[in-house]
Amino acid sequence: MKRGVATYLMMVMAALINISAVACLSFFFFPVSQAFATYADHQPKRFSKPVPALKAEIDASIELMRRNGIYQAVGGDPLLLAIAFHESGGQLGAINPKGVAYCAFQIYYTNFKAMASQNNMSEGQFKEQILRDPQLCAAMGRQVLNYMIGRYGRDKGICRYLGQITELNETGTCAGLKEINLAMDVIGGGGIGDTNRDIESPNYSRQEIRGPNSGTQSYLNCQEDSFNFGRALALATQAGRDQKDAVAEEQYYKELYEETLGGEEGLPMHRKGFHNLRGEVRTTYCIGLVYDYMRLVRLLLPIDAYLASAFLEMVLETLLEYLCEFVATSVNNWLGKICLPTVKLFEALTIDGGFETGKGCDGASLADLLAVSSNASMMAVPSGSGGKPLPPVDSLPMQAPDGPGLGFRMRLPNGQTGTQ
Amino acid sequence: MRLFSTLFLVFALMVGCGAVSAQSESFSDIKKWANKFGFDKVDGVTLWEHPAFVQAMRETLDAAHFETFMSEWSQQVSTMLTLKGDILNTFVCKAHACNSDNVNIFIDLKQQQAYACWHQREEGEDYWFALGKARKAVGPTGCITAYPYELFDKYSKE
Repeated sequence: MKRGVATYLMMVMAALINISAVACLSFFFFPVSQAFATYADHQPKRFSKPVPALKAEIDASIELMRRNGIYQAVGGDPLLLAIAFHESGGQLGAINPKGVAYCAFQIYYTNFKAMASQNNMSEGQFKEQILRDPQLCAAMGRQVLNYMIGRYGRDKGICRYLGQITELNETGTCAGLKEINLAMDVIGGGGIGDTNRDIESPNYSRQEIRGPNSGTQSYLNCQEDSFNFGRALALATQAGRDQKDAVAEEQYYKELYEETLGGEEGLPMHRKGFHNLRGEVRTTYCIGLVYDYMRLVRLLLPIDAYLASAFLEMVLETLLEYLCEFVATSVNNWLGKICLPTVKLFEALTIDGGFETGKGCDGASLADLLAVSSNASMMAVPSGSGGKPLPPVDSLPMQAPDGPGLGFRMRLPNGQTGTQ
Repeated sequence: MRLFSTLFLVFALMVGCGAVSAQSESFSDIKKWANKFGFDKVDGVTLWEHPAFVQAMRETLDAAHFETFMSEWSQQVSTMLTLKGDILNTFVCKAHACNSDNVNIFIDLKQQQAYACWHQREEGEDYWFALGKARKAVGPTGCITAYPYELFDKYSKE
């Protein structure tokens, strides 16, 4: 029921948000602790970006290479397929006119003369043929890769093939190598594994990637971007403050309203930066649902009450935990303790209750909300858990709405629970 | 005076029609890039330089994506433009990151407008761009496909 309720609430919220078009972004103006900037200064610990997208990229690329003949031409060799995937997305006829690199393997032009001669062609014929003939393209790709690996060793050879020579020289490896290894494992049928359910493990709740090439690695889905998110949010906050100082408040909110509804066209340049920042925060990171929720709450609360209350600060602090603890169990602990205020949509647009931390939820929590948003990738802490981390679940327990009050059981300020 | 007015009206109509015709003709030039690459020159210009194409892309993409496309990706890796019905398609991507940073461009020769399906893994969200509409978020993998025209069929009619 919880899932059903939360989904239902989301739908209603989305509709409300759409029709309301409030000047939502005063969210950014709420005082944020100085520590936030410090947190945001952390360098992100990066891994290849969201693996689900990588998996989809690989699947589409392999499908393309099956159609254009590259897959058959390399005999399904995972390394060669991964190279073509990286260099051209598997497009047989890809050309880089600037670097003068041709075909799915992006064969560099300095090789053309010798290769043409090797294949009894003129250079012109070779350039035409390599874009059409998967066998020729694959053979030349294999030849160049074998040369690189033979001369520099596997890993350095791959980095050189990928053109990441500066990074290789500076660090001894390259980012592309990790992606190639991962792609090889995914192509080979392995790769992306299950979520770690061992609560004692430091990788608890992280999705693991295993394979002979990439080894065992783990990542936190969207949480992996937490530090980037923190940085972007801090920048947006600062930009918001700067803007607020720069223009009269009324005009400022008016502009925000217009920006919320409109695009960037016609905006003065100094506004575009802020708009971009906001867009980056809103769309790039897996926190959009919290934003939407906060927008709804802001809509329903009188502005004075909003400013006087501390609930948003609590949320921000929770987000800081989210950003800085970098461990899903901790995220769940925090988010699971924040009970959502109940929204009486069918009686009056008011909010009952408030955010409450420290005891766990008998009703829906932000953790539930996020779990629904991210298809449980962040895991849900069942309500009433008192913040104790529980094994991740693939879906939320279902609970049917009880009535027009949306069926949310909430923790009342006096510590009792009630049902709307 | 009446004669002057009539002549002026005819002149104005001719100029107006001429302008429309020139614009239309200019856009129809784009068809010449079917089975060519965007960087191939036709009548002395590449597609990436062709005023009608540039204008269409400027009006379709937002400023940041337009800049990325024009000054970076279009100068890097691309495929030959294919023509299916009235729709031209080309795949353009960032060198050495084709899988994660790419865009499928569609040019509707009949409607004289461009569309773009933009995938940048780092953004965490793919976008469908269409003239006169706000960009549409289509999910983190919404522009990934082995069948690009399916993207057009899917998103252009929504």
